[in-house]
Amino acid sequence: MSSKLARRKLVNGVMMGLTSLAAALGLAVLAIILVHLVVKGLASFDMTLFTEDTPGPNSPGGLRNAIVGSLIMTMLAMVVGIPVGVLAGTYLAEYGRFSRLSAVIRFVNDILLSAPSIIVGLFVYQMLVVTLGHFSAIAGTAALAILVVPIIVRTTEDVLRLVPDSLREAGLAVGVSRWLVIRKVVYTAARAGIVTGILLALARISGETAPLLFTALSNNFFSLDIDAPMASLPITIFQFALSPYENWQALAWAGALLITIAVLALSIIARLLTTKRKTS
Amino acid sequence: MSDVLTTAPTTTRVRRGEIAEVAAAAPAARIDIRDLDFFYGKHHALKNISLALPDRQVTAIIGPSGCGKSTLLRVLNRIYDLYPGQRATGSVVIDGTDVLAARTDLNALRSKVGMVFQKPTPFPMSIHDNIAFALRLNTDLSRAEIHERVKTALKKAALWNEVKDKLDASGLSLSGGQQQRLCIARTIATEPDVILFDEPASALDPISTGHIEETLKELREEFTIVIVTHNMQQAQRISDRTAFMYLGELVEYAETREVFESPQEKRTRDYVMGRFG
Repeated sequence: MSSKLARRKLVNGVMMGLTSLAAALGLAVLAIILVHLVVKGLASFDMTLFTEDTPGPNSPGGLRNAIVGSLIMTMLAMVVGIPVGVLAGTYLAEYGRFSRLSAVIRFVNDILLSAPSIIVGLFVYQMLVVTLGHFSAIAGTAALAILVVPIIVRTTEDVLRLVPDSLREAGLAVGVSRWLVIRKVVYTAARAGIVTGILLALARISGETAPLLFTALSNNFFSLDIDAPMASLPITIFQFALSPYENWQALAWAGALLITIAVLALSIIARLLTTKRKTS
Repeated sequence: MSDVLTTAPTTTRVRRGEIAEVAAAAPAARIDIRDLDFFYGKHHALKNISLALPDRQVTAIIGPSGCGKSTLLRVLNRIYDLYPGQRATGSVVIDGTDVLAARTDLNALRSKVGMVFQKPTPFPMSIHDNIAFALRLNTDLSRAEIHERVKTALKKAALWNEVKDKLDASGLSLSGGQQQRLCIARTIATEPDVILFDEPASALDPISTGHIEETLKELREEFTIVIVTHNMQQAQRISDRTAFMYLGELVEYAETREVFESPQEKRTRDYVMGRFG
């Protein structure tokens, strides 16, 4: 009896040690990356990053064109992706909840959700870049939008399904149409969750490189023309990090830090919104 | 069909032997249910129900769990329509309108036939907007008129004194009993003819239940009320008539006093005396 007890305690101790070690390892890797990123990134982090465009080798400059390009393409992708994603998610969770078409859409959406982004990039290359004959921010935006939609569809459907049917019935029972019940009651109840999904989608595409590589390409100059190649942070980082020039490498670190801060901020906002929903 | 509908109130009295006696003294039927069957997919949940509910009276529907009482209630405002596979056959006529007809405007029907659910279901908006919501969308009332209606509805639901200083607070911040009275106020505000109550007090403590019952007693002056309840004392306290259902069938329907004191059917007697259910 006592030997069994001793054995159990030993096994428990060993397992606790192993799980703690695994957790520590995972966190350590993350911490090393972050510390490295912050140290290297901060070294060249100053205002010129935002005021000057990408320089030639061994001359001073910033990331202005890449930052603006990234902002334009992600924002345009969100402008296209949010309505499509939210409305499609609404269809799946509300009007088409029990239909067979919904089951098919849901299945296809899940495939799209896990499709490698480089495939999306190649697809848009074939459809838009080859057809139009040149790389452009439009093509980059299209590729990012294709990545955004399935994420928003999925999160919107999931959070709308969390809204209890009793609330929908109550809305309908006062004689209001289905759409108004969805808009005024269901969306209000699920607002934090929908916004969280949108922010996560935004965080996801703000670091994507592969879909922009064959679509928006890059641009060494400041450009607002969406029918022309446009610079972006991920591509610039990719380009500069692989270069032999020290000033380019330094800018790549600064850019990486910039993206990380932006994604971190989005995650924190999303987290705050989710906890607020739980307590209310 | 429409001939039947318009003459419904007078024919009900003699149509069925067992209800003719009580119906003779009752006012014109506001809700006339005939040969109603209801299916959840293949499950036959209501079997050939015929029932005439009088105007401006409280009718209680009692019976053990799963007997179909809530299902019957959910037919009256077609709320079951939300779910595929649920269907009703037969006829339900409320004030000349055939509820089950495909062309019936459901929004209009539900404005006329309000419903209060078992669990309080305040909308995620302010106390004021919970009530104003349907008014803003379904009527042309001015802001001042809407505010007046909100106030009147809250008074009728006996909630005004508790919330008059915090109309902008979230409806979700109220207690369970207050939330349920808010739901009643919301239903009253649309000025329906009929209000359906689906076990409105079963999730509440005795004091809140008392408040709700007081409210119900006042509402009977203005509305035709149908209430599903598990609580037989409650049915006796607040209803004029009682329908006893068992396994999807209507077993007995008469004045409440009769159902509880001298039931005609053995199953009713056993149930009201607490032998089963």
